[in-house]
Amino acid sequence: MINYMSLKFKSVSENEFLARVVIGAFIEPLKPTLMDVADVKTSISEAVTNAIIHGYDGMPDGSVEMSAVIENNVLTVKVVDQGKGISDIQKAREPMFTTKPELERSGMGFTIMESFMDGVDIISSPGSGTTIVMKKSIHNGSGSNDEAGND
Amino acid sequence: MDFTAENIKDTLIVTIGGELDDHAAKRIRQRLDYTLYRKDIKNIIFDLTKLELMDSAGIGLLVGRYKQIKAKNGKVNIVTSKNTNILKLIKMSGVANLFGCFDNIADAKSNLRDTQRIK
Ligand SMILES: Nc1ncnc2c1ncn2[C@@H]1O[C@H](COP(=O)(O)OP(=O)(O)OP(=O)(O)O)[C@@H](O)[C@H]1O
Ligand SMILES: [Mg+2]
Repeated sequence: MINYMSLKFKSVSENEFLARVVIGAFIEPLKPTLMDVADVKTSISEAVTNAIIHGYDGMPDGSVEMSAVIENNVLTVKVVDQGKGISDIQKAREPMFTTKPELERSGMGFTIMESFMDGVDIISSPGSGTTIVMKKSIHNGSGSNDEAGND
Repeated sequence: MDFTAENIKDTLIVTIGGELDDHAAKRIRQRLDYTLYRKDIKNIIFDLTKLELMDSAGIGLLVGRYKQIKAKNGKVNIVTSKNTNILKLIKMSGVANLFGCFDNIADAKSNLRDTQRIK
């Protein structure tokens, strides 16, 4: 199966929910397990929240774009902002590293994305925004007798 | 997001349902800070059995309340269903050892009573 979608929204925290609902609906035809749905929705929540609170520093006048492709049960999802960008990507990936401890951030966002998805790429530099690309193969959890793709 | 906070003696039982993200965490934090400021609360039990999803903002919320309660020599217990993404997230974040973790509210409550009896 091949499918794609894209969604552009304002950088406000209400839209974290919107992004999760949309990605959940997008992967639904693959009949994912509940655990896979939760992993994907949580990872999207991390990437979108980062765009809003770090990329745009919580200012509501930015826009965030989420796009996704499904190809042979592999989901590739991209979250893009035109915010301030990341100066040290390696450091940003470290568990417990946060530039906003005052907001009760735990610095676990990238660690969670890396653990819940199969791969996470970060494309970013100061002043030119941030793009996060995540991949995950979705397991069929429906127990249906559709054997397509079995080896 | 559904949120209730019930005060039993010096323990606050906080029930959160639905999805706990940055947006929800901001609102819950505000309401808890107000309660913790007004009332003499020593312990918190977070009942997360009705929670469907949580991200790192939830970790921040739990750890933030742990710090406040720790300052009063109290305890924070967490109740989650077994085998959920939420428990996975708490363990993965390396903060599980800050809390008492239980799979039912009765055990979380009796743990606090036992702790008090020992003292
Ligand atoms: N879209 C982004 N734009 C700019 N900086 C970012 C972006 N995403 C992440 N960062 C930077 O990377 C750091 C680490 O991100 P990560 O999500 O791991 O932790 P956090 O957001 O600080 O805390 P948590 O996710 O646990 O609430 C952030 O503190 C921030 O400095
Ligand atoms: Mg984050």
